[in-house]
Parts: sequence; structure tokens; C-alpha cells
Amino acid sequence: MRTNRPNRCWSVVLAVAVLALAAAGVWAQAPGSAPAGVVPAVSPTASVGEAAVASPVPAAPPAGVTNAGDRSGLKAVMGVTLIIWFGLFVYVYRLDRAVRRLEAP
Amino acid sequence: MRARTVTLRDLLLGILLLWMAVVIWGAFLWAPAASGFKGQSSRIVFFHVPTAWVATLSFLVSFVTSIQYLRTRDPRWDVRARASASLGIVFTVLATVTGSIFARIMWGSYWNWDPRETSITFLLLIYAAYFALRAAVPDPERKAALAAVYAILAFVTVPFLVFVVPRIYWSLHPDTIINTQGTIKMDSRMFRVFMASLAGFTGLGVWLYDLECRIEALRRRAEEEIL
Repeated sequence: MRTNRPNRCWSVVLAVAVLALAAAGVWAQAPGSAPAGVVPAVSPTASVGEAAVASPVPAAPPAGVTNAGDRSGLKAVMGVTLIIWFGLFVYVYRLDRAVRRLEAP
Repeated sequence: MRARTVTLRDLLLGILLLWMAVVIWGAFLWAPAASGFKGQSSRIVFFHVPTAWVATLSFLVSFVTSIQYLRTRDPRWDVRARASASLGIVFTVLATVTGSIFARIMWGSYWNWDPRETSITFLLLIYAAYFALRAAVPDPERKAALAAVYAILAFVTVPFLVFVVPRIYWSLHPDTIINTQGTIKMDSRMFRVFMASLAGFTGLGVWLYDLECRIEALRRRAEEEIL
């Protein structure tokens, strides 16, 4: 027999997805996330050959070689991410406690 | 009033809470950004790769538990297979979203039909069909058996779509963490935060998986009591 009750775990995983999307969106909009001119962008319409000429595939960063870049806004993004993480954790933790109560004989 | 007791589970969850908080701090403020990437976009590696890792791990668990179901016909294995497949889908979506944001910053478009983007789309469709199959069969035993067979076949595609296909074709995607020379070229602080993030996300995945299994077991128990 199927019930029409929504599965609460799905609401949790949906919340994870939505919050991660929100965090990533905030991140993408952050002032320090994409300053122009560090690496030429590849046009999405460029052919494979053109793209390879315009900008080689970025390799994994070599040891010790880092990019100072523009770090403004990173603290704010970190703050938002931490708030999302704590909020998400409290929500799932409360759900975990509720499940434990139901499991108790 | 109910007395609250602190269990080992609470203690582990407390450690996970603090661990991930430290990872978030390290990812944004302690680890440097990698060279060769626009601005701070390389920091996405601390979240994108661990979500993809947990997704692959979940599909592997779904594969193993499905085999176990076919061997034993114990419905608990079916619960586990379903829970891990759903978790795999969620983390695959997260990996896709974080990858798309990186693509927008680096390549100017959220979607470029890069081999990795295409293969992850196929993977999502394959596992979405797993849930469509489950929804289409009303008989629980038949549903569990068909789903187990499908999950085993579906996992066969995972190594090809995740590891092989993206390496065969030319790709915009940056070199993988373990590159083609079999080495890891990463700043030591980045590497430490990356590994900590991998551990933290794995812990989060295990917790969500366990929770999903327990909720599903409760749901089945309630259904049996109603019947």
C-alpha cells in the first residue's frame, strides 16, 4: 500500500540542493570570484581548435604556484556559507532526533 | 520532561559540524587560490570534487547492496540500494551545479556540452530511470528485484561515464586531481583543505544515507502496521 505522506528525507535532500545552489550563486556573484583579465575566457561558441589556441585547458595548479587575485568579498561569502551549513546541520540534526524518537520501542 | 542524553552519534555529529566549519574557513581564507584560473574560481575544487566523489561512492554502494538483495532477498538491502541511489542523484546534481558555475566563470557559459558535462547528464538520466522503474512496478518484491538488476547494470556505466569518456576526448575541464602522470600537483595548503573536505563530505554522505535508510524502514513498518 502506498501512502501519500511526503518523505521527509526528500525534503532534506531538496533543501541541501537548494541551499547549495544559493551558496554557489552568492559565490559566483562575489566581487572576488571572477575578475576579468587573469585568464582569457574561451567563447562557448569557439571551436575546439580555436579554444585550444585561445586558452589552453587550465592545468591543475603546480605545487607552490598560487594566485593571489582579488580576495575582497571572500569573508562575506565564507560567512554566508557558514550560516547555510549551520542552518542545514540543525535542520537535519532535528530530523535525526525525531527519527530516533520514532524508532524507540 | 524528557531527559536528553548525549550519545556517541551526537558526539560524531558535533565533530562533523565543527570539521565542516573549519573546512569552509580553510577553503575561503586559509588555502590560496590556484594559478591559471580566473580570480578565486579554483576554490570550487573544495566543494565540487567532494560532491562528485560522494555521488560515485553512493552509486557503488547501490551496486553492492543490489547484489546483496539478489543474493539474500532481504528487503533491508533494497532499502539501502534505494537510499544510496537517491543520495547519488542528489550529489550528482550538486556536482553538476557547482561545475556549471565554474564553467560560467572560466569559459563564459554555464553549459558547453563538454564531455564531462555530457557524461554526467547521461549518468543523471540513467539513475532517474532507476526511480521511474521503481515507481512503475506496484508489487514490492518484483519492484525490488527489477530495481536491483537495473542498479547493477546502471553501475557498469559509471566508470565509463565518470572516468573513461572524459579522458578520451578533448575537454575544457581542468586536469584531474591525480593527473595523467599519476601525480598530484597542488599547493600543500590546498591539498590539506581538499582532503579535509573530502573526509567531511564523506561523513555527511554517510549520515544522510543512514537517515534515509532509517526513515524508509520506519515508513515500511508503518505501512505494515496499517495493513
